[in-house]
Amino acid sequence: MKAIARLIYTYFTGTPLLRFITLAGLVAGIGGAALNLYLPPLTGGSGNPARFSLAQEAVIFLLPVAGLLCFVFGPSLLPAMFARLASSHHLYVLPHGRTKLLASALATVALTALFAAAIVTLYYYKTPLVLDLIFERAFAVSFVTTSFLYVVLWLTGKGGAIGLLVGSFVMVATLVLPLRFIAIPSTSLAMPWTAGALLWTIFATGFLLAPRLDAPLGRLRQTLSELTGSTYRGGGEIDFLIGTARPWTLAAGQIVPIAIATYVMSRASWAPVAWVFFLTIISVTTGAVASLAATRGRALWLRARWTRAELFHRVENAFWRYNCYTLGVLLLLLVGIGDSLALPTRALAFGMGLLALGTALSTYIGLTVTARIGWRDAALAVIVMLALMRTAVHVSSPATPTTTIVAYEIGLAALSLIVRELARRRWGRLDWMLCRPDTAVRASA
Amino acid sequence: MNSPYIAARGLGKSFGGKPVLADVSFTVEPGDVVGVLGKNGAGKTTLLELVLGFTPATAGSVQLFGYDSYRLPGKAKARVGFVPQQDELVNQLTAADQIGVIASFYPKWDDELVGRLSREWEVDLNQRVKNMSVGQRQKLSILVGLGHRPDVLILDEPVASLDPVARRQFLEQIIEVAADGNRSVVFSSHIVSDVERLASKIWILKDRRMYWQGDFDSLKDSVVRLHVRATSPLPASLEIPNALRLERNGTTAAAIVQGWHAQAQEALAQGLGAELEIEQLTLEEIFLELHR
Repeated sequence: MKAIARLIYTYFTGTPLLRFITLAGLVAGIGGAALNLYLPPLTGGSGNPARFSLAQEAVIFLLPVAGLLCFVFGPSLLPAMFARLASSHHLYVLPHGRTKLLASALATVALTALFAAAIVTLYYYKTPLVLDLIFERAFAVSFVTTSFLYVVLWLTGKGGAIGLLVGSFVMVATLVLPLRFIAIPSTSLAMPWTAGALLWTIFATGFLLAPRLDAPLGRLRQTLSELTGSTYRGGGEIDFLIGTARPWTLAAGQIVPIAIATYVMSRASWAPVAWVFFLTIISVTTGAVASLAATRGRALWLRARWTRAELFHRVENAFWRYNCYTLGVLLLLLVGIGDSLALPTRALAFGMGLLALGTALSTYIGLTVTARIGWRDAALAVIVMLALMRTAVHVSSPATPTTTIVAYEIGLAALSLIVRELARRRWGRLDWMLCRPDTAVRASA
Repeated sequence: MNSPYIAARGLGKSFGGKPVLADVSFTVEPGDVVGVLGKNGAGKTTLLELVLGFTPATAGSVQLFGYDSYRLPGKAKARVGFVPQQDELVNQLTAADQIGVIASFYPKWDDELVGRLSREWEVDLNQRVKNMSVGQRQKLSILVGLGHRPDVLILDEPVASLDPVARRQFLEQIIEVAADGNRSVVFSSHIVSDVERLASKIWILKDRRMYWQGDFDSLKDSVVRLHVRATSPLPASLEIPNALRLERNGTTAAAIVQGWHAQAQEALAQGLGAELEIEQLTLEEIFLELHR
């Protein structure tokens, strides 16, 4: 119990930033919920005299939401720490190490979901809604989405095409599940509970049995490797060293999450245009492989006679060759889905352009990772992601004028060129001392 | 008599049908300090990982505190400490948090010992792990492995990343702390002088097998350099039993002999009609001769 409590405490407070986020989340969440409860805003709108100015009311209204978001991101250390401890030899010699580590992860997710459910319930306390149901829905959805979110972070943090592939699959589920239950409140909670239970059962079984599964998995990997052939062929040294030798693995693998999303979305009777949004997100995820390029390129720098600038061009070309496969599959899927669901031609046409832009942007953002990721890089990635999502919404909406969509896509193309230039400059003065594997892994996460 | 902490019998390990360790048997008694020597790829790390139950043996068995090490229960794990070759610390944490996390898994933790050693080794507990030098990280890794005062501490090349001055002082302290009374230490190292200075027992792995095991004095008595001085030229067919290497030069010869014993000296001197002088070797010389 002591170990589980200590691990949970560390997930939330392991770094000064996380301590601040967690504390801010608690204060804003509890304080905001209390303010909503005892000094409810928007009373003017219901005929009662308003206590606050509109700006003050907005702050009170949004405070619990901000607190909730902070608290959800408070234990951000969980995936990284879990991954580190899970792969360490310590876990074999720590008493009940595996069980305690797993329990700490489950308890952290449950704690986060509990906090979210409590805040949501307090938020609606003075409304005529049935509070039991609100609590139950909020807890179920938060528990499942937080679980999936951490699995995504963990998988993408592990790096490699397979991790990203499974991560993108889980990400689709993360995005689809909560939206469905928020959008259609009458939906039964059986599905999120089943999904959550299934996820945790698979994860726990795999994790607890990992020492026993090592040998058979090793044999399976060897067999698969023999079946797929060598990653190295004469003349393909660049692809071999920077990890772009097997583009088909990721390209074909995208089909699995998209097929599952098709099933979920068709059952929820979603508008076909939502597909543009999801495929754009997947294009970004697959492009993120490029964030490992600089670390892997070190081996090329040591062995080839290219300058840093020449190396950048060769790596860029290698990634575009690699991306042609993933992008090609995404475009084919969009056309196929668009055709079968009668997607508007305009949405289809601009959607295809958006997928190409999403791939280009994420690739170049990945290539800018040449050292430890800073707040400027993080801000740039968030801005790009938001810009892509916003454009996807516009592309999907029949009400948006075509000129607006064109303007957005031209803006994204310009942004691609800017980010490419930034990546090129960074590679031009690349410091291999600062470009270490752990930095790249964090960046990809 | 106390039962051994570690007992292995006919231990073997193969990866994909390729043997990396074969037919190894040994015991570690309470109070033993065992130094494991061997060339790269001799199987040192595999041996230590088999002892700790990281991987199942493909032949034979190894028991830790009487339990099959691959199925070690929690109460036995609480008595084992391990320091891996490369640290496995969490970069984002401070040293104090890293220690705190690991300490929480154990029923007992010696805060006083960890505090004292961290001061003596100049490990800044408030520093973030990712900002530490390789040597500092290794010291922290050892603190993490020592804090619960394990009955058996296993160290896989623990001081490889330290400078010679720090290494000497540091390893002595580890042994002092970890091997007091009934506690045992098993450590592998490439630095033969460290093993010679600190180990009460030596295991030498060669060609995937336990080539030699015992205390250092027995090893020194067993492997010696023999100087032969005769009045007339030594015969071309000169043979010395159990000689690993023989160099002849007219009336003199030098040989490295394994399995040497005092009775052999008299018989050999009489047989050759020569004067024999025995020179004892350092552990490093023995190690080099055995691997020549």
